[in-house]
Amino acid sequence: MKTAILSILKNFRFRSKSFRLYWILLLLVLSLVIPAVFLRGTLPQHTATQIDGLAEFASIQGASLGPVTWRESFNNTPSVWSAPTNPPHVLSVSGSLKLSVTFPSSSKAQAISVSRNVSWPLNQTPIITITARVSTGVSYGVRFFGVTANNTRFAAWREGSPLQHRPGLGTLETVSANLVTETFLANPKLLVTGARITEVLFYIEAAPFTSGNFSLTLYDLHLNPTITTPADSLELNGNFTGLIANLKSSVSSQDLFQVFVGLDIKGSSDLSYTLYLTRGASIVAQGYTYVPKLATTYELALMSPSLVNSSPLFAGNLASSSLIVSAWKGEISFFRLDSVDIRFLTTTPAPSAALSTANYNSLVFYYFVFLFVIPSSTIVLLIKVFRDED
Amino acid sequence: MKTKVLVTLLVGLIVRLELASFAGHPGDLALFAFSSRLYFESGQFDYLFPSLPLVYYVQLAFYSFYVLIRDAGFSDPTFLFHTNYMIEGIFFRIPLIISDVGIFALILKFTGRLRYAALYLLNPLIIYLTGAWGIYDSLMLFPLVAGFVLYARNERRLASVSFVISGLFKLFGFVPFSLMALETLLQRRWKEFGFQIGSAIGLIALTFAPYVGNGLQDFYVGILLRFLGLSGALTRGYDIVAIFSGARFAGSSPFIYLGLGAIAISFVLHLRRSRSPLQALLLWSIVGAVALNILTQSEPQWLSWPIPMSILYAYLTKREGLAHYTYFYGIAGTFLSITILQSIGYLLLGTPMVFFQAIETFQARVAVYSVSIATMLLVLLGYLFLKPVKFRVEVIALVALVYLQAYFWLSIMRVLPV
Repeated sequence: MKTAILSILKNFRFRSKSFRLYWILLLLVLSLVIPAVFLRGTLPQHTATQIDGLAEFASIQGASLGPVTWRESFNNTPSVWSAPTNPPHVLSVSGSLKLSVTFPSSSKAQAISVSRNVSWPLNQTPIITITARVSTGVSYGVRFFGVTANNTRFAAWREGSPLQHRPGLGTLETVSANLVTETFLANPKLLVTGARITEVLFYIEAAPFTSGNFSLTLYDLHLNPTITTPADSLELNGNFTGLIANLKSSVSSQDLFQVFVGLDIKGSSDLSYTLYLTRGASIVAQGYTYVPKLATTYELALMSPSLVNSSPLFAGNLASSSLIVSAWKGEISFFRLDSVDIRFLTTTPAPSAALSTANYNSLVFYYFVFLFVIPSSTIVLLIKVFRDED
Repeated sequence: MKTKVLVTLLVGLIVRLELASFAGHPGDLALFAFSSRLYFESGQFDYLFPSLPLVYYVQLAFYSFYVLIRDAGFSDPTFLFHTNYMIEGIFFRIPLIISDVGIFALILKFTGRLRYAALYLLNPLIIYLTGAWGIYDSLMLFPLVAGFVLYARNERRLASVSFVISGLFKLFGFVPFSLMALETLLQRRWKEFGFQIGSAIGLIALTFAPYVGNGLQDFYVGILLRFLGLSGALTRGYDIVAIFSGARFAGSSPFIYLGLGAIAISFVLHLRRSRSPLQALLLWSIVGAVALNILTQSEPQWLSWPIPMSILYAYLTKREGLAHYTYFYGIAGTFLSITILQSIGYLLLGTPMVFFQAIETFQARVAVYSVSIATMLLVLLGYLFLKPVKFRVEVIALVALVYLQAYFWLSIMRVLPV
């Protein structure tokens, strides 16, 4: 045994190049690993934090659309719908509503609207669905107006909403919106109890120097109430088009970085859904559109403030934050919330953020010099001038 | 020769460090900063790190030196609207820059020609990804190139380990590993094959050990299924197939399985005819990278994968035109990525900002990007498969013409509903 070990030691070339290389490599790896192990958790700053959203969980409920409570019949009663006399237009209401207008060439923007009075109470959280076709080249939108319980008038629309200034596509479009959310987003301090929508208005608008014949055709306009099914646990069975998990408090939108939600979900084969995190009626984070997988029913959904580009049909708790799963297609038959990780990242803003445009241009020049000019010039010199030979 | 090597190395280092000091991808660097800060501030290991674990380990190792200087009281400034601190951003680039220098050294040693090594180190796409963006593709490319060099020296076991390490940074490394394992299997070298598979399983298990019992399900769904095209999230792709079909795939497109199957069969057929297994392995690995760029979501950083492999292949097959073409391909790829996918101001200021409307915010620009990139990849395949030719200025004109034609038909004439 002793002889064997001695023989191995004798044969092992401690001073060989490869042996030294292994030692150097080992020392390098150790010098990288040791600080990472011993410095863990030593930075005194708190710029990256993660909170467990499940600890904040308050209640969960399934949401779906109830039977239609109101539908526009478009029977030949033009008096219900009205439009201003200017610009000249043709309004026909028969099975559908068609507003045709000719915009002359103008250096100013032009618009025309058509509206009607309604009485839609907000207490049932109504969802409005609109099916319309609008000519290409113009934009359109829908606006709501209402009164509170003590008859104070309010506007239930806001600039920046997906319901405003939508480009006409020339094809049939179906748009849905939650009237309580729209009201609350436009009037955050309004008490919606007892309030109702009293007027609905559609408009088409043309940018300066846009001229020609344009039309807006409404094929369907109806309301459904929201039906909610509360659950006692984090799990829910049934048939739903939305799920609302309310949190006990409001999640700060400042420095919100990402939200990871682990969930188990089953539903119809055509199910596609999106997750939202709300604060009151505002969307503070949104996820991608997800479809069921073959491999597992578990999904790790990511939400981020930078992904926000739509809003869910169902509203969460307006006094706190909610996690909303909104199905675009199909129905959800089973849902379980497994984890919610809410992440915040803070980086102190730079004092240099207010550079002038001239400085930005210089910076671009500087960037291109280092990215393209210096490397390319060096290559040209190397290949064409100082020829490198073996 | 030594002076020229040092000057080249110095230029490569200076441009990278200079760009790293002020530029950066605000989205990706925020992800890296969050995971590293979470570990060093609160001691929490980030099981939801958005990439393969080996990338996280390397980042933590290098970030620890940044922690040392922060602990010593150093106050790090931010620049404009960036999500990370300036020196912090440089620390994220250090392993990438070391990888680039490592690849430079490997190509130089393998070819003995500075121009080949310089065509990699001074390639604007590589500089852009490492220095300006801060993305970690070089970390994957270093062991990948080392794998090919080891394979050439008949160090097959070390080569397979090197490919696996590469695959643990980005799954692409498993393409040459699988081809090599296939070759071993065809040669019926069972012991060798056993070592390859065993070492791969061992390294994978070692890398994922910290995830066991805590975040493996999240990793399986959040990372693995996404890379295998079995994810539930419908995300956007930049590849020509997705753009022109309008399809949105959950992760990778299913077409890639057809592509990879065809590559495996072609590799076996090539191997039977070829006297150089290295050439076959390199060639079909490059084709694999091209296929991934044409058939799957084709992130702009993926365009860097064929560059070092093509340089090695160019040296082996005396295709100098191919090596020179990779440089033009890098310039054009960088230009298209900056102007079309990100806006010039994005990496520079930390927020999207357009400087040249005509080339940054035109209609159907992603379709124009995908057509131009697909053309460049097809030209690359031409350089690989056709008779060796010199790189000519006409190739630049051809690619420019395709870009302008795509711009005219897709953006101005709007022949496609994109």
